[in-house]
Amino acid sequence: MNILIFNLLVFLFITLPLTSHANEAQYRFADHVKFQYAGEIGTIATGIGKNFGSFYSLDFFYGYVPEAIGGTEIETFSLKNDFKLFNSNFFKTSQDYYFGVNIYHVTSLRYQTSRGRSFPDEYYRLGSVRALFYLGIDIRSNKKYRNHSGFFEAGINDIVLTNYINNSDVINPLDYASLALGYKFDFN
Amino acid sequence: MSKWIYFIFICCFFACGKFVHSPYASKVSSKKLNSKGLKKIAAIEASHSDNFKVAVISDTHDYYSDLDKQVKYINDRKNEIAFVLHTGDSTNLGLQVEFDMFLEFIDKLKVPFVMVIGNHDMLTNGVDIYKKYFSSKLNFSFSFKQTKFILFNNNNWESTGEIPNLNFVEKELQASSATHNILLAHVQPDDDHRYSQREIDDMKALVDAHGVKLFINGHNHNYGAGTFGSAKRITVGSPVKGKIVILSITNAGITSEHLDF
Repeated sequence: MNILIFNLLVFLFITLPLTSHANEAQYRFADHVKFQYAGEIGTIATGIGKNFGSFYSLDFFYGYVPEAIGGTEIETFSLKNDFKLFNSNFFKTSQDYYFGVNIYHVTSLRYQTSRGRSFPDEYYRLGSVRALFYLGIDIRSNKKYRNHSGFFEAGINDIVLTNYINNSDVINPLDYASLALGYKFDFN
Repeated sequence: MSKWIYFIFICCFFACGKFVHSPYASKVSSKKLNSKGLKKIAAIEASHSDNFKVAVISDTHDYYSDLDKQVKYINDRKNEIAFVLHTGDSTNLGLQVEFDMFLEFIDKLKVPFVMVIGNHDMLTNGVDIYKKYFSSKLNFSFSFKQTKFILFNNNNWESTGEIPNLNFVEKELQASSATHNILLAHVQPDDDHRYSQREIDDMKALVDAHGVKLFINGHNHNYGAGTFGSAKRITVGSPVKGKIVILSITNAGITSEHLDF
């Protein structure tokens, strides 16, 4: 847990100054902050992101899984790339529909074995970087609290996708879909 | 229209998916499949004669289509095949999702099953998952009729301590009163990249001293047959080759076949 607190403090120390100067949106480093539950990058993950036009946004996340939940402490750093598809309105809410790819790195697990590592270098491929391909919906109120939104994502990672491509007759990728829930706060 | 298609897709994901904290997590529920497999093997022993068959599979990794065919082949012969042995490498990265995919097929087996750990199963946090899913012991043995099967971890690069544990193997052989002793481990015992010549010679001396009949290993994905000391040696090969190894064991000896499935 100390690792989580330390990294969150470092993360906030680095990123919060970059989100200041609210009146100078065009120069601002980040447009929003997000908190995410699950989605393969941690029990809780926090990230900042910037929109590039109305189609693409990039987020940088730090995620953490405590030992009590993961069996071992796990930390991840990830880059989430969201590509907006379309928008709709429903019951006084606005929904953004998007797809994305989350490329994440799990620290200190660079294809090491958990009990020893006396194998030669390059014997195993790098195993600590994964990609998660997902669909997402971001829902916000049309009137009050326009800066706040909740998002839901569902996707499959590169292992499941590869195994499905190679074994499409026997593997159903939906059985291994991973879900995420999150909260987003826009600085605008 | 596209919104509806999108909506249907995401509903399907939501209905089937799970909130995955990390694919690298090792906190999994205990299944103890090897213990269950050994109990089933003990339970069926009385119903078999001294002439019985054993299916051996290995290095199934992500070859799920081929594993599915192997399982169907075995199930079609469930009255002939007493049980199934797996010589390790059921995953590529030792991740839970890979173990779960593997078990999706192994769970369909209609005969008992036990597995020894492979080097890939030991990657990441695979050892912890293997211990929960299969066995807390990486070295174990069992007897069936006139034959003793000794299964042990010989993935020395991925383990700490003295691997393979020759003391364990020797004690099991010394305690054996079986007509046939069969050793089963993942890596070929004469792999001169992994083992020094002294280590290979020590294992060979053990095999010779106790009259081991057969050494079965995986690791190499190509089938192979030869000798190791005085024992016959079989490299099982991966299912991607479309083959399966069937052992026929009688009081007179052990024969093996490498069959199409």
